[in-house]
Amino acid sequence: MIEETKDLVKILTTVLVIIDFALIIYLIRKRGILDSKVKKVILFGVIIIPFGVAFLANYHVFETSKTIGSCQNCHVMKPFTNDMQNPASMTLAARHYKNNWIAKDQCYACHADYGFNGTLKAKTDGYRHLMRYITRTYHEPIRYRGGFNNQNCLNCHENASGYLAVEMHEPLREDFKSNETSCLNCHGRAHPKPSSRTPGHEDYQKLISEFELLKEPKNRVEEVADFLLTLNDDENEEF
Amino acid sequence: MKNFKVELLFVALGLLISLIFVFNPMPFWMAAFVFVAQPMFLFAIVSSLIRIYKDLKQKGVI
Repeated sequence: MIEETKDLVKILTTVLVIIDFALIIYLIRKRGILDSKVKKVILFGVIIIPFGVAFLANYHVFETSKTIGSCQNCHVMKPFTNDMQNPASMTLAARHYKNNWIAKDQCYACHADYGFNGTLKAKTDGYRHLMRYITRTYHEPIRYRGGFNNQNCLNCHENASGYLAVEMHEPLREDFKSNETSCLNCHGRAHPKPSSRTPGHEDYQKLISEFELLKEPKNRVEEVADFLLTLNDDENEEF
Repeated sequence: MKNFKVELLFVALGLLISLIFVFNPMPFWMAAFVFVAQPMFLFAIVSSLIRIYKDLKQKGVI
Protein backbone atom coordinates (compact mmCIF):
# COMPACT_ATOMS: atom_id res chain seq x y z
CA MET A 1 0.00 0.00 0.00
CA ILE A 2 2.75 2.43 1.04
CA GLU A 3 4.86 1.44 -1.99
CA GLU A 4 1.86 2.09 -4.23
CA THR A 5 1.38 5.50 -2.63
CA LYS A 6 5.07 6.33 -3.14
CA ASP A 7 4.80 5.33 -6.80
CA LEU A 8 1.68 7.44 -7.14
CA VAL A 9 3.54 10.42 -5.62
CA LYS A 10 6.37 9.92 -8.13
CA ILE A 11 3.97 9.74 -11.08
CA LEU A 12 1.92 12.75 -9.94
CA THR A 13 5.04 14.83 -9.26
CA THR A 14 6.49 13.98 -12.68
CA VAL A 15 3.24 14.87 -14.45
CA LEU A 16 2.90 18.17 -12.56
CA VAL A 17 6.55 19.09 -13.22
CA ILE A 18 6.18 18.39 -16.96
CA ILE A 19 2.98 20.47 -17.13
CA ASP A 20 4.58 23.29 -15.17
CA PHE A 21 7.69 23.35 -17.37
CA ALA A 22 5.39 23.60 -20.40
CA LEU A 23 3.62 26.55 -18.73
CA ILE A 24 6.96 28.21 -17.89
CA ILE A 25 8.12 27.90 -21.51
CA TYR A 26 4.78 29.39 -22.61
CA LEU A 27 5.24 32.31 -20.18
CA ILE A 28 8.80 32.94 -21.39
CA ARG A 29 7.57 33.08 -24.98
CA LYS A 30 4.75 35.43 -24.02
CA ARG A 31 6.92 37.80 -21.98
CA GLY A 32 5.75 41.36 -22.17
CA ILE A 33 2.14 40.29 -22.83
CA LEU A 34 -0.37 40.22 -20.01
CA ASP A 35 -3.76 39.12 -21.27
CA SER A 36 -6.27 37.05 -19.32
CA LYS A 37 -4.83 33.77 -20.69
CA VAL A 38 -1.32 34.66 -19.50
CA LYS A 39 -2.74 35.58 -16.07
CA LYS A 40 -4.39 32.16 -15.79
CA VAL A 41 -1.13 30.48 -16.80
CA ILE A 42 0.72 32.50 -14.13
CA LEU A 43 -1.86 31.41 -11.55
CA PHE A 44 -1.32 27.73 -12.37
CA GLY A 45 2.37 27.81 -13.33
CA VAL A 46 3.72 29.95 -10.50
CA ILE A 47 1.23 29.38 -7.68
CA ILE A 48 -1.03 26.33 -7.86
CA ILE A 49 1.24 23.67 -9.42
CA PRO A 50 4.39 24.58 -7.39
CA PHE A 51 2.22 24.44 -4.25
CA GLY A 52 1.00 20.98 -5.30
CA VAL A 53 4.54 19.75 -6.03
CA ALA A 54 5.77 21.09 -2.66
CA PHE A 55 2.91 19.28 -0.91
CA LEU A 56 3.67 15.98 -2.68
CA ALA A 57 7.41 16.24 -2.01
CA ASN A 58 6.73 17.03 1.66
CA TYR A 59 4.52 13.97 1.86
CA HIS A 60 7.40 12.04 0.29
CA VAL A 61 9.82 13.43 2.94
CA PHE A 62 7.68 12.13 5.77
CA GLU A 63 6.75 8.82 4.18
CA THR A 64 10.20 7.82 2.93
CA SER A 65 11.77 8.75 6.25
CA LYS A 66 9.81 5.90 7.88
CA THR A 67 11.88 3.10 6.36
CA ILE A 68 15.04 1.55 7.82
CA GLY A 69 16.75 2.16 4.47
CA SER A 70 16.08 5.86 4.80
CA CYS A 71 17.68 5.94 8.27
CA GLN A 72 20.68 4.02 6.92
CA ASN A 73 21.23 6.61 4.21
CA CYS A 74 22.90 8.78 6.85
CA HIS A 75 26.04 6.81 7.72
CA VAL A 76 25.97 8.19 11.25
CA MET A 77 22.91 6.01 11.84
CA LYS A 78 24.66 2.79 10.77
CA PRO A 79 25.68 1.74 14.29
CA PHE A 80 22.02 1.89 15.27
CA THR A 81 20.50 0.13 12.25
CA ASN A 82 23.26 -2.48 12.00
CA ASP A 83 22.94 -3.29 15.67
CA MET A 84 19.19 -3.61 15.28
CA GLN A 85 19.64 -6.09 12.43
CA ASN A 86 22.37 -8.04 14.20
CA PRO A 87 20.88 -11.37 15.33
CA ALA A 88 23.46 -11.62 18.12
CA SER A 89 22.63 -8.23 19.65
CA MET A 90 20.48 -8.07 22.76
CA THR A 91 19.58 -4.39 22.68
CA LEU A 92 15.90 -3.60 22.91
CA ALA A 93 15.75 -2.55 19.26
CA ALA A 94 17.49 -5.76 18.11
CA ARG A 95 15.19 -7.97 20.18
CA HIS A 96 12.14 -6.26 18.70
CA TYR A 97 13.55 -6.68 15.19
CA LYS A 98 14.71 -10.29 15.26
CA ASN A 99 11.54 -11.46 16.98
CA ASN A 100 9.37 -9.61 14.50
CA TRP A 101 7.55 -7.76 17.27
CA ILE A 102 7.27 -4.84 14.87
CA ALA A 103 6.28 -5.95 11.41
CA LYS A 104 7.79 -3.11 9.37
CA ASP A 105 9.33 0.38 9.53
CA GLN A 106 10.95 -0.65 12.80
CA CYS A 107 12.82 2.63 13.40
CA TYR A 108 9.71 4.69 12.83
CA ALA A 109 7.55 2.52 15.11
CA CYS A 110 9.49 3.80 18.14
CA HIS A 111 10.32 7.24 16.77
CA ALA A 112 6.81 7.90 15.52
CA ASP A 113 7.00 11.61 16.17
CA TYR A 114 8.89 12.01 12.90
CA GLY A 115 5.92 11.02 10.73
CA PHE A 116 3.32 13.10 8.96
CA ASN A 117 1.23 13.18 12.15
CA GLY A 118 4.18 13.87 14.43
CA THR A 119 4.58 16.91 16.60
CA LEU A 120 6.02 20.15 15.29
CA LYS A 121 8.96 19.79 17.70
CA ALA A 122 9.83 16.38 16.24
CA LYS A 123 9.69 17.80 12.73
CA THR A 124 11.94 20.74 13.56
CA ASP A 125 14.30 18.27 15.27
CA GLY A 126 14.32 16.20 12.10
CA TYR A 127 15.22 19.24 10.00
CA ARG A 128 17.95 20.14 12.50
CA HIS A 129 19.40 16.62 12.27
CA LEU A 130 19.31 16.80 8.47
CA MET A 131 21.06 20.18 8.42
CA ARG A 132 23.75 19.03 10.86
CA TYR A 133 24.34 15.86 8.87
CA ILE A 134 24.64 17.68 5.54
CA THR A 135 26.95 20.36 6.96
CA ARG A 136 28.93 17.74 8.92
CA THR A 137 28.46 19.77 12.10
CA TYR A 138 27.92 16.78 14.38
CA HIS A 139 30.16 14.71 16.60
CA GLU A 140 30.10 10.98 17.05
CA PRO A 141 28.75 9.41 19.13
CA ILE A 142 25.54 11.26 18.44
CA ARG A 143 23.33 11.61 21.49
CA TYR A 144 19.61 11.94 21.91
CA ARG A 145 18.58 15.31 23.31
CA GLY A 146 16.34 14.89 26.32
CA GLY A 147 15.23 11.67 27.95
CA PHE A 148 13.71 8.47 26.67
CA ASN A 149 9.98 8.80 26.19
CA ASN A 150 8.13 5.80 27.62
CA GLN A 151 5.21 6.58 25.34
CA ASN A 152 7.28 4.96 22.57
CA CYS A 153 6.79 1.67 24.41
CA LEU A 154 3.31 2.34 25.76
CA ASN A 155 1.91 2.99 22.27
CA CYS A 156 2.02 -0.77 21.71
CA HIS A 157 2.37 -2.28 25.18
CA GLU A 158 0.00 -0.26 27.35
CA ASN A 159 -2.99 -2.50 26.82
CA ALA A 160 -1.14 -5.70 25.88
CA SER A 161 -1.93 -8.73 28.04
CA GLY A 162 1.79 -9.43 28.51
CA TYR A 163 2.31 -5.95 29.95
CA LEU A 164 -0.79 -6.05 32.15
CA ALA A 165 0.15 -9.49 33.49
CA VAL A 166 3.40 -8.20 35.04
CA GLU A 167 2.56 -7.27 38.63
CA MET A 168 5.60 -5.02 38.94
CA HIS A 169 4.13 -2.70 36.29
CA GLU A 170 0.96 -2.04 38.28
CA PRO A 171 2.22 0.48 40.91
CA LEU A 172 4.42 2.21 38.35
CA ARG A 173 1.89 2.85 35.61
CA GLU A 174 1.52 6.55 36.31
CA ASP A 175 5.30 6.87 36.65
CA PHE A 176 5.71 5.27 33.25
CA LYS A 177 3.24 7.71 31.71
CA SER A 178 4.94 10.72 33.28
CA ASN A 179 8.43 9.33 32.47
CA GLU A 180 9.30 9.35 36.17
CA THR A 181 10.49 5.77 35.75
CA SER A 182 12.02 4.67 32.47
CA CYS A 183 11.10 1.36 30.84
CA LEU A 184 14.80 1.03 30.01
CA ASN A 185 15.67 0.68 33.71
CA CYS A 186 14.52 -2.94 33.61
CA HIS A 187 14.41 -3.76 29.90
CA GLY A 188 17.90 -2.65 28.91
CA ARG A 189 19.31 -0.20 26.41
CA ALA A 190 17.39 0.56 23.22
CA HIS A 191 20.61 0.99 21.21
CA PRO A 192 24.37 0.39 21.69
CA LYS A 193 25.96 2.54 24.38
CA PRO A 194 27.66 5.79 23.27
CA SER A 195 31.19 4.49 23.94
CA SER A 196 30.62 1.61 21.46
CA ARG A 197 29.46 4.15 18.89
CA THR A 198 32.58 6.28 19.23
CA PRO A 199 35.02 6.08 16.29
CA GLY A 200 38.17 4.35 17.46
CA HIS A 201 36.38 2.08 19.94
CA GLU A 202 36.84 -1.64 19.25
CA ASP A 203 33.05 -2.11 18.87
CA TYR A 204 32.65 0.79 16.44
CA GLN A 205 34.16 -1.00 13.44
CA LYS A 206 31.90 -3.98 14.07
CA LEU A 207 28.87 -1.73 14.32
CA ILE A 208 29.47 0.03 11.02
CA SER A 209 30.63 -3.00 9.02
CA GLU A 210 28.31 -5.06 6.87
CA PHE A 211 28.37 -8.25 8.90
CA GLU A 212 25.70 -10.92 8.72
CA LEU A 213 22.57 -8.86 9.18
CA LEU A 214 19.00 -9.96 9.29
CA LYS A 215 17.59 -8.27 6.22
CA GLU A 216 14.14 -9.55 7.15
CA PRO A 217 13.05 -10.23 10.72
CA LYS A 218 12.66 -13.85 11.75
CA ASN A 219 9.15 -14.74 12.73
CA ARG A 220 9.70 -16.15 16.15
CA VAL A 221 6.39 -15.17 17.72
CA GLU A 222 5.60 -18.80 18.59
CA GLU A 223 9.00 -19.25 20.22
CA VAL A 224 8.44 -16.12 22.28
CA ALA A 225 4.99 -17.30 23.29
CA ASP A 226 6.51 -20.59 24.48
CA PHE A 227 9.19 -18.64 26.35
CA LEU A 228 6.56 -16.48 28.08
CA LEU A 229 4.56 -19.56 29.04
CA THR A 230 7.70 -20.98 30.62
CA LEU A 231 8.06 -17.79 32.65
CA ASN A 232 4.46 -18.12 33.73
CA ASP A 233 5.09 -21.67 34.86
CA ASP A 234 8.08 -20.49 36.87
CA GLU A 235 5.93 -17.87 38.60
CA ASN A 236 3.38 -20.50 39.61
CA GLU A 237 5.99 -22.76 41.11
CA GLU A 238 6.03 -22.84 44.88
CA PHE A 239 9.41 -22.37 46.45
CA MET B 1 3.19 42.88 -13.31
CA LYS B 2 4.63 41.81 -16.64
CA ASN B 3 8.07 40.66 -15.53
CA PHE B 4 7.95 37.33 -13.65
CA LYS B 5 11.52 36.36 -14.54
CA VAL B 6 12.77 35.70 -10.99
CA GLU B 7 9.61 33.85 -9.95
CA LEU B 8 9.77 31.62 -13.03
CA LEU B 9 13.45 30.90 -12.43
CA PHE B 10 12.82 29.99 -8.78
CA VAL B 11 9.85 27.81 -9.67
CA ALA B 12 11.85 26.00 -12.38
CA LEU B 13 14.78 25.31 -10.00
CA GLY B 14 12.40 24.27 -7.22
CA LEU B 15 10.59 21.87 -9.52
CA LEU B 16 13.86 20.33 -10.69
CA ILE B 17 15.13 19.79 -7.14
CA SER B 18 11.75 18.37 -6.04
CA LEU B 19 11.68 15.92 -8.94
CA ILE B 20 15.23 14.70 -8.25
CA PHE B 21 14.42 14.31 -4.55
CA VAL B 22 11.24 12.33 -5.17
CA PHE B 23 13.17 9.81 -7.29
CA ASN B 24 16.36 9.89 -5.20
CA PRO B 25 15.47 10.52 -1.54
CA MET B 26 19.04 10.71 -0.22
CA PRO B 27 20.02 13.13 2.58
CA PHE B 28 21.61 15.69 0.21
CA TRP B 29 18.55 15.96 -2.02
CA MET B 30 16.22 15.94 0.96
CA ALA B 31 18.14 18.90 2.39
CA ALA B 32 18.14 20.60 -1.02
CA PHE B 33 14.36 20.24 -1.20
CA VAL B 34 13.72 21.32 2.39
CA PHE B 35 16.19 24.21 2.60
CA VAL B 36 16.46 25.40 -1.02
CA ALA B 37 13.47 24.34 -3.14
CA GLN B 38 10.79 25.07 -0.55
CA PRO B 39 11.98 28.63 0.18
CA MET B 40 12.18 29.20 -3.59
CA PHE B 41 8.57 28.07 -4.02
CA LEU B 42 7.55 30.20 -1.06
CA PHE B 43 9.26 33.27 -2.49
CA ALA B 44 7.73 32.72 -5.95
CA ILE B 45 4.22 32.13 -4.61
CA VAL B 46 4.24 35.03 -2.12
CA SER B 47 5.86 37.43 -4.59
CA SER B 48 3.31 36.53 -7.28
CA LEU B 49 0.40 36.91 -4.88
CA ILE B 50 1.66 40.34 -3.80
CA ARG B 51 2.01 41.44 -7.42
CA ILE B 52 -1.44 40.14 -8.31
CA TYR B 53 -2.90 41.93 -5.28
CA LYS B 54 -1.18 45.21 -6.22
CA ASP B 55 -2.35 44.87 -9.83
CA LEU B 56 -5.95 44.23 -8.81
CA LYS B 57 -5.87 47.13 -6.38
CA GLN B 58 -4.38 49.45 -9.02
CA LYS B 59 -7.20 48.52 -11.39
CA GLY B 60 -9.77 49.11 -8.67
CA VAL B 61 -11.02 45.51 -8.65
CA ILE B 62 -10.49 45.23 -4.90
